[in-house]
Amino acid sequence: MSKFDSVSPVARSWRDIPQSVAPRVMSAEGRRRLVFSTGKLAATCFLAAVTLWGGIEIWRTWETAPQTLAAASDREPVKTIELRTDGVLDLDWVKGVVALPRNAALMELDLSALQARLVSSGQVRTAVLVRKFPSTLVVTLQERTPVVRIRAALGGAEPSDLVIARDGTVYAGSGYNAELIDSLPWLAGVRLARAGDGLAPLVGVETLAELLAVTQANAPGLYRSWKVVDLSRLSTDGEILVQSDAVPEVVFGTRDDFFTQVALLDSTIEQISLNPALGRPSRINLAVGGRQVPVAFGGPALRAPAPAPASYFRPLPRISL
Amino acid sequence: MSKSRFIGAVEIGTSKVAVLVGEVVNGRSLNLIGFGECQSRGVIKGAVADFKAASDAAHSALMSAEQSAGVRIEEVYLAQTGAHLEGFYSEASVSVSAADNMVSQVDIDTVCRLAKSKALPEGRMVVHNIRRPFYLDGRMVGSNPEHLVGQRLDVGYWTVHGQENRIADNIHVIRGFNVRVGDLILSSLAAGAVLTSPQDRQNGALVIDVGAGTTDFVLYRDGGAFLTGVVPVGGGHLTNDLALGLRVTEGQAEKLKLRFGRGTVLSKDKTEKVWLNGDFAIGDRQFPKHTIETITSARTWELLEVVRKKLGAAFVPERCGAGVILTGGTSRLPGLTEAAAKVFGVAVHIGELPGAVDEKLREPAFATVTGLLNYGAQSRAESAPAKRAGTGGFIKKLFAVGN
Repeated sequence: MSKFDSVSPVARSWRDIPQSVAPRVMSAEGRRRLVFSTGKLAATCFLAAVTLWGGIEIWRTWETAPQTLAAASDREPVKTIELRTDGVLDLDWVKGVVALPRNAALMELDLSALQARLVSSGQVRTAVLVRKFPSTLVVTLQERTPVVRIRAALGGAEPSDLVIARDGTVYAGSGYNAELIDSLPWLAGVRLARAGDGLAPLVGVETLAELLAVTQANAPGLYRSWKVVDLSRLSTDGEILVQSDAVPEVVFGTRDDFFTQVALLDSTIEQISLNPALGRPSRINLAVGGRQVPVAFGGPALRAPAPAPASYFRPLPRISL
Repeated sequence: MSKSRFIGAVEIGTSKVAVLVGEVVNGRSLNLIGFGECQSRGVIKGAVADFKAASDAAHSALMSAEQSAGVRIEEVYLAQTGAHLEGFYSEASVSVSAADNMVSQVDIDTVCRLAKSKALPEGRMVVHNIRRPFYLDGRMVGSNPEHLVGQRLDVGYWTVHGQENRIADNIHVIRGFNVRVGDLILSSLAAGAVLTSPQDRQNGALVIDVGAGTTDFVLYRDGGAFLTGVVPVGGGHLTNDLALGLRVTEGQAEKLKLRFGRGTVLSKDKTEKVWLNGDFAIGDRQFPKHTIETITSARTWELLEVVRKKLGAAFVPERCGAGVILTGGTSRLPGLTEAAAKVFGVAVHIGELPGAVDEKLREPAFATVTGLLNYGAQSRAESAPAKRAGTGGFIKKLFAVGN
């Protein structure tokens, strides 16, 4: 002990004043802050306690039965496959494609390989596979939509029907409604080529899909009558040939917009049907451009249209001001 | 990664409550990020008289400052003023203990403890212990005499103490907002810290903060604060004198003071009159300008004389090279510098805040609150290296969450 410790005590400082005050002395804002800070303290303590408890539990499990921990993380088998899709494929199809072995562990799945298997079918545009612990595999798909169909005999096998998506992907459609498939026109004038295990995407289908979409949206009757669409002259002349019930050959040009051409076709067919003396048109060429539509005749006359909605492009009502 | 602390400087004055929010980055640099101000209520001559009213005003200013800064204040540096504050000087000396007469840290600690050990009357508490330079065998050796050789070590302390309940009232006003008071700083020291340079303090300077209810002053000598004091007279008394002398309301007197008040009588024409409002409306009256100046200058002279008297022999014009620096809201009174120059016999000027401070805060009325933040952050930074680093920081933080 120092000889100076016995000197008179150091005077009290303002720091000796207790800073705690009763909540009733506080203002509303002060009380709000007190509640907030108390809540924060409680949450911190709770979090610390939970972390501590979790740590102790893991440590105890590790000490007593470490294999349980390993099983929990590595050996849990896939019990459920959860499918989320924007198309028509169902869970059975997915199960068939991924073909998981019996009791396959969730952690051991090669998600990249499974994804590649799903995408290789052609109908699946993107596939995302996610492990949802403890035992669920979540498969999220984005599917292609067919715009035309084609019949082909691959590798000497029996001819089979395939469908083609907007981006030119050719695939055997699965799960589609038969009516939908029947409503699709057939595609001609293209050559299928192999690419790996499947077929190479066709060029020009996107342009065709645009024509079909415009027609389906604005003249559904015309669209229904289209049987075959031919792309043989697309790359050389920029023309798409359509074979319909009413006209054996309709030529669309890709330089003008399809909406105008479809409107002209509808109007032309209507005009022809009103004048049976002209006979049946054998060829309508819409690729000339402008308002002129060369029509070749060479068949029996078209039937007069029904009086009701003869045309899908009716003139706008005249408004008098 | 930079660590930021948000601190607040609060001055609960007689006329206004001012709050500044500062961001201390890594315990080193200080950025002013928010400001709040509110008209003060429930405070008379710097002391809380109505707790509820004072709390409402202070909390309103704190909230406004927090909103302006967009952060929550973690700690407050609080300005302390009031007539209850007093100071005394005490000194001690020890013989250097080492056989080779080299001063050790033990000698320094001992002499400091002895100098500060003077007991205070019941109900009084220390606000500041301001150490003066050390003397070794009668030779001034500055602030650190360790390893110097001598036989007798002397040191003196200027101790500022105040009434416990008054100080507690101030602290409780802030605690009512649920924010901790990190430091209590004398208003004059806060203003002086920002208005004087180290060179000024070395040459000697007197800083006088003329507020609305009190006048705080600090005399610097040999690089540090030598003496402090508070006079319970301020700009409010000038207003009150005018109200009594001219028989007008306090509000009207305040207007007249701001427009025509002076620290010295300038008007020679005793018949020259000025209008109360100047709008020729009903109730507008004329008052002799000479009378207004006489009343305000009389009180100003009296105030400055009281300060001079309180300084006593400590104030030597020859040892006040940097002159007198006036600040506070009332320092804007025209003629005050001339009056002060006559009373103290040295050069007088209005204190100017550093250019880095925002234009709005460069008013003399905000010198204390600006200095408070500066002083608080500086003293905290100086004391920081002494703290032990380690896990204590985390544990302390964890338990400080509730504060």
